[in-house]
Amino acid sequence: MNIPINLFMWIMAFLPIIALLILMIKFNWGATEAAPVGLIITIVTGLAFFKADVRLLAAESAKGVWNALIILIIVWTAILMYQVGDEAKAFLVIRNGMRKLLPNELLLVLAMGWIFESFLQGITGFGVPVAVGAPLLIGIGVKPMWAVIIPLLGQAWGNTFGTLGAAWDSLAMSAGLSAGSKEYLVTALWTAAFIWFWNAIGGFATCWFYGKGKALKKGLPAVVLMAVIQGGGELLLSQVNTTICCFVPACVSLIVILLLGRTKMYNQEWSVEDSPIMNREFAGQEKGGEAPADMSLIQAFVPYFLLSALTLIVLLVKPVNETLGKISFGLSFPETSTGYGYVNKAVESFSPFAPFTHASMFLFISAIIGLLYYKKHGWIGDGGVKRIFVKSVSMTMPSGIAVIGLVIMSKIMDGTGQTVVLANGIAKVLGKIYVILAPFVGLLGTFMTGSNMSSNILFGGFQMTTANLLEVNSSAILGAQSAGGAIGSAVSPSKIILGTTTASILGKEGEVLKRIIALTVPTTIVIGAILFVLVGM
Amino acid sequence: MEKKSFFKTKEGGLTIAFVVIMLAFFIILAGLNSLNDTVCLAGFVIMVGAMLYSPIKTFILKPKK
Repeated sequence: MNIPINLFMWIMAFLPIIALLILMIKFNWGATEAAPVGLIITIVTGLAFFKADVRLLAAESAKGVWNALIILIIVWTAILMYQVGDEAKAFLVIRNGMRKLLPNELLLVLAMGWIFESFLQGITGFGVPVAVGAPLLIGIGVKPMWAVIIPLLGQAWGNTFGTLGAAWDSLAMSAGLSAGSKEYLVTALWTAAFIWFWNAIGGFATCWFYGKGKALKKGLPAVVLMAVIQGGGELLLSQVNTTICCFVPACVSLIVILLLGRTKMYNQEWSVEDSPIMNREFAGQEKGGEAPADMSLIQAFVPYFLLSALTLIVLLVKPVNETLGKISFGLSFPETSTGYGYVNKAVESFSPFAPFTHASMFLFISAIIGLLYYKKHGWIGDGGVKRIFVKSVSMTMPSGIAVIGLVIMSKIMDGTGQTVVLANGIAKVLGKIYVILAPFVGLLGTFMTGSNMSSNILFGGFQMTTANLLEVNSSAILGAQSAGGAIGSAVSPSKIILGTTTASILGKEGEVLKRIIALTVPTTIVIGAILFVLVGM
Repeated sequence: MEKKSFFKTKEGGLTIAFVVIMLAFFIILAGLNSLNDTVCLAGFVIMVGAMLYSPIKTFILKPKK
């Protein structure tokens, strides 16, 4: 690779990202409008300054569309599942039932916006917790904007070891860590420690948003307990089994928070009346009709129970997983290269899609069985099925264009060498100070690709190489990379848009991003500073 | 109130844009398989054009109305 790494090339590589940020944050553009502009800039810089040719751009675009399609199937099935619940008015039952179980409104918001999302992230991921969580929170009276922000924060900690450790495995793979080795376990420990910090921030931030100091004081014991179970549990289990080290503590925390609602501290009705995140007018009315009187809370949760059971069986029972995973297909791509000799090797089966072990299949089956179950009980009436499918498609389409645009953009950046220039430039200029920015690189990777896993694939090897060049602890740097990547999942436009879609506030992605970035960037810098003090000085 | 046809709404327009992108995707794949740069270029241009539907509709066509 002969790409010149200088300030000009670095600025050119950074241009699409900065344009995307400015359009979304400064001008409040939605991701559907901003992503295509970012894409055009990437194409221009790729052609003009990184010497890409048409075949390379076309190949990377096709790879992007393929990856985006795999994400969009999850979006559609998650929305389908939401529409099934919405049509049956199950969310009204969930809202009323959870209110009875958790009379303390703060604990209710924590349970529905943080703990339940952690549980979903532990098994599904790919934005499902955001897509599913937003309407659930709206159902308990949270304002739509906050109903998107809270799940984004709540699910983020589970992005590395969640989805049964998918992102962690990709980090280990790209950094060449062999499972069970000392380096592997030490890296897992660093990663889990940084994530624990962010996990606690997520809980405290939710309390702060709900009712500032008053809610922080009230929620302190619950958040501390949940953070110890989730973050601490993950830290301990990361030394035993990285596949389930997020899922198990997430399940335990879900049970514990329901028990916590029965303790003296939280078993009375309590709320902050003027909470800025609650829509009090909404809470007083039965929007969308009345909840079906004969539907119990357990019946309302049927599709979610099914989702959990199906996911666990298929992903954890090895013979089932291996048999179903045999059916997969990917696309073949020829080798492409830029004028600078940056090569994208030919692939026989790019990003193979295994439909029967994919999260979308679990969501689809759960949604369909849920639909049949609700229909059998008469909770979905005539024309309901058609409405569900039409609404699910029309809700998916706007986010589809944004997701396609963002993924193609990241693919072209990657394929033309812009990503490498971006990362190398930072390391070259900053020297050991780079350590402070190590988690920020992880965050940037997830921001661009929408996935902690992709960020780890993109930057895992680079972080390892840079750590060795700078002679700093590579396990700590890799831990910061993945933790930054997990935090980045809260600001990733393609995840935000899933929430704004199901919360019916499409186009407000910039506003959501503006609020979350104020929390994620300082946290990432703090992690970087801690890292610098521990290993960089 | 008169009900607007689905394809005249923004969601409908985006659905059409999505279909066009899928079409362009298959054209690109055909171009890559036959190593034909002209076909790749055609698919790529169609795809980028469809991607630009939303910003053009929101910031250029709509304000003019």
